[in-house]
Amino acid sequence: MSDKTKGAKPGAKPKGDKSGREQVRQAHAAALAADRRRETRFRVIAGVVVVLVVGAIIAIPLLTKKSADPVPAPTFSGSAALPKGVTAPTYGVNQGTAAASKPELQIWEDFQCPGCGNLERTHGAEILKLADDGKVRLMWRPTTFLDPSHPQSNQSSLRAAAAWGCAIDAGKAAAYHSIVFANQPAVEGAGFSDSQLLDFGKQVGIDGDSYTTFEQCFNAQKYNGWVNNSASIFSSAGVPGTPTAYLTGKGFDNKELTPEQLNDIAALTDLISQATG
Amino acid sequence: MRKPFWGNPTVGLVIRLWLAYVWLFAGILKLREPNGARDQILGFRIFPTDWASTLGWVLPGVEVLLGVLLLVGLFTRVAAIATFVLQAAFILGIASVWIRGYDVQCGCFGRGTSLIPFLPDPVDKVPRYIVDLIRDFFFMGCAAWLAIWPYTRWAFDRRPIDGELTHNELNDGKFYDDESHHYDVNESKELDA
Repeated sequence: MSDKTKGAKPGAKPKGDKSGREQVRQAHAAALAADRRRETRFRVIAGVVVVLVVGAIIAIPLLTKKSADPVPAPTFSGSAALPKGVTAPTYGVNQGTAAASKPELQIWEDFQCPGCGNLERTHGAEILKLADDGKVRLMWRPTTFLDPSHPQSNQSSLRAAAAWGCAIDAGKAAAYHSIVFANQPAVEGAGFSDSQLLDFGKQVGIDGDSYTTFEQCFNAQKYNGWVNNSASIFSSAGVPGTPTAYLTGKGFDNKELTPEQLNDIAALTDLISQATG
Repeated sequence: MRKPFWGNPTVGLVIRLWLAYVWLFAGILKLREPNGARDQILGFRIFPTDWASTLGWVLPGVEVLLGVLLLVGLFTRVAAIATFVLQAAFILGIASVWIRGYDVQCGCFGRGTSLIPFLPDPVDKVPRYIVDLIRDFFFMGCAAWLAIWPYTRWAFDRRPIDGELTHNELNDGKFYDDESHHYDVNESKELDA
């Protein structure tokens, strides 16, 4: 059976010498094809209508959604209080003794990010040493992008970074940075309690009047605004995650380092000497 | 008349609704984020920021559209092929971040959400990547089924596209292909013959 019957009109004169049975069969098939074309047209139109209706039912609540997010997006405030040594426009925390002519290594971190904790625990001291030896200008840049992923953590990224700001005022920037990562919960998102964050201050040696100031600073959420400023830059600049490190120097213009480069201290030292020129 | 498993329109219906659920779930969760899927896309370090911003809305929009089409069974084969291609792209993306050593949440179902709520994705990146890849390959398989046998129960499109048998339940054992050849499965032969 090779001749096409599709499109043949019912009752159309069959080609060639066909038996009556063949004519009936062709007419039948053609009527059937026409039926099925009508059916297809009806189904497509009805289907498109249903798609539009279902699409509207899904889209309208989404488009008119109130921002009832339990974790609001960070907002920028030009008047936010800044920890000692932190300045606009980067709102980053500078470390080390390197001259302005040295390359700059910026590391974006979220205190709830396991990769950041891993980096700090394995290579934090070595990276800090490069800065303390004056080889690179190290800048830690805090963000809070994991807070919305872990609503049960009660904005632990924000609270930890704000507490860090208070510790920076007490002269414990590196020590507090390190102790928070050292005490990350086993499960991402379990977060830090307020009393834990205050206790970290005691553990890094903030005591006496300094501790009172630290505690008041934390309880007053003095540096939430600072952290939010930094976090909103993270978002608007499209930083792809944490930890993310950028190297700026000779031949390196805000170049994102790969995980291998960041986690191999010899490779990192090499890159920094290249960038020193 | 008992239909065979492969191409069975009832099995096809289950697969179609499953993929529809997956797409709608994934797309709606992403559309609820402030930047759509932008932040997750950026994490893959494949697209520059401005591309990611656009894709961040286009991708979940496409996901919801495919979900609705599969839900009602309209243009099933086209939707299934698009699903297959998108899943292949996701697999390449995950493999690529894995090879390059980044630790990213795939963000497949928005931030911190897993397809099956009581079965969260693994925390460590390697088992998580493996789970993500196996899941996407499974979705690819589902999409391939629908692309091969797009005619399922309770769908808006029932007509064959490329002259295949329809397995059309309405025809009560008599199948029609695109050329309107007439078969009777009970006699296991083409009546025209």
